[in-house]
Amino acid sequence: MSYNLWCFRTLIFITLFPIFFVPTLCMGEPVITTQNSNYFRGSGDLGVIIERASGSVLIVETTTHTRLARIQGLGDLSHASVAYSRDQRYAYIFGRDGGLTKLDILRGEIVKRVMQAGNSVGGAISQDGRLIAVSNYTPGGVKVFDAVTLELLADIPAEFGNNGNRRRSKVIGLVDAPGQRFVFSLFDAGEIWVANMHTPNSPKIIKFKEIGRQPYDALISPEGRYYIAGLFGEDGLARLDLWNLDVGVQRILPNYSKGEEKRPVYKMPHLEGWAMAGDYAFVPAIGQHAVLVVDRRTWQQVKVIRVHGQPVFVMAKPDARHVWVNFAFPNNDTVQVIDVMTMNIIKTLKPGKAVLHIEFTPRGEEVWVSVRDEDKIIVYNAETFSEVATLPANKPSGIFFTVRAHKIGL
Amino acid sequence: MTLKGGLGPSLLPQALADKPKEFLLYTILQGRAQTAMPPWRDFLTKVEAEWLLEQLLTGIDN
Repeated sequence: MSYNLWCFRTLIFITLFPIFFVPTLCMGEPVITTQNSNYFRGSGDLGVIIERASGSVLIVETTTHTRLARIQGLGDLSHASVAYSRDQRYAYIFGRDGGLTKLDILRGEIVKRVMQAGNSVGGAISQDGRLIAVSNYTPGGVKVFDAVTLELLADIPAEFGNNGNRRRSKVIGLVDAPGQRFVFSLFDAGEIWVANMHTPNSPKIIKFKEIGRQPYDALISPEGRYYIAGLFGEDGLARLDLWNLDVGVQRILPNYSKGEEKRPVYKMPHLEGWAMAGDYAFVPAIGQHAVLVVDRRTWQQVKVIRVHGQPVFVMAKPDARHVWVNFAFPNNDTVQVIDVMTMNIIKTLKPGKAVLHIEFTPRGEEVWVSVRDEDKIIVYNAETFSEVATLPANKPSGIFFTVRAHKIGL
Repeated sequence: MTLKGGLGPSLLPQALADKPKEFLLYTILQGRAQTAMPPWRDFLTKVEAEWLLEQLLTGIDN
């Protein structure tokens, strides 16, 4: 790719602007007034890549491995994540500095941007696509916005403690759940909250207390039934059955590091991409060079897979045949692939220095890997493991394809 | 990076100002049990950690 990025930017305005802008204004009647209607396109093969150091994102297209545009001015993106509108046109970018940006990925333009908190770490879109929730460290809590206007609809302070000692907790592990709910965890309080958002400006909240020490991240199972928070302060995970709230939060894998040396943790694992593959879940073991395999029916551990380092992302290929794993510093130059059937490592790749994220194309024939310290994205054939393409990117971290728009919890 | 703190506390100069240098240096090299701070002794020398601490105390301009 030899163009300068501003060329891409120009390109997207020349080619995309007139074609997409006009039909959108004329709702119902797609009147195509441009010279070339062939550019009238969908967005199912598009995505956004975070460039963490420069506060910019790349809009990319996965069919031909192309960078379409670079959008700048998004603030601090050092731990940014993205949710998509269900029409897959808008990317909501959650910045580390509390910035919430709504990006039109077809026009390559920021639609709206608000600074909604001082210190933030992730967000989610509601089941009906109308609400955007952001979880904040400072001040600790969740804010809920109108997905169209980014107007604030609800503010949920994460208060905990006794009357004499009320504090606000950092909030982590925010996901959407069926029933127009958001579920999240309070790191300092050790609580899980379920917020019913049917009346957006008046959330109904159910709190689960004493779920375990320091929940650091969480995920929801693909069908939206189980919310599972990883615990940093003790062994095991906290599981909430959203079909059965009365049962409360239950501990799973309570003693997984028994007899293991607990190593220092240089990067917290992410649970979001937790691999639910067939009958098994593949879980990063915190403080260990291991991926745990759990039987999803009994929630018992069935195997420990020794891996190259401490896992960060443990991501199932869309067909659940393989699980791809990247690692924390100082082992973050490597990616390993686990075969789900044999539960063995079948491939070790060395993409380069500081592999931060892994994202599969919608049906999983290819996988994009960000290599921060080498300023590049490598695209692999997920079947042969050969390199298909390399794209330049400025300190890339998270890769988010629009296929996430229709997945619970992403 | 904002250095405002994630699961750990803020690393901005005003947040560190009232803490003894020895304590901060010890924290960098040895980590702190029961928190998200790991020890960096395997990757940083004492001199490097002192340099890093000076940067944090002075403030790192983005």
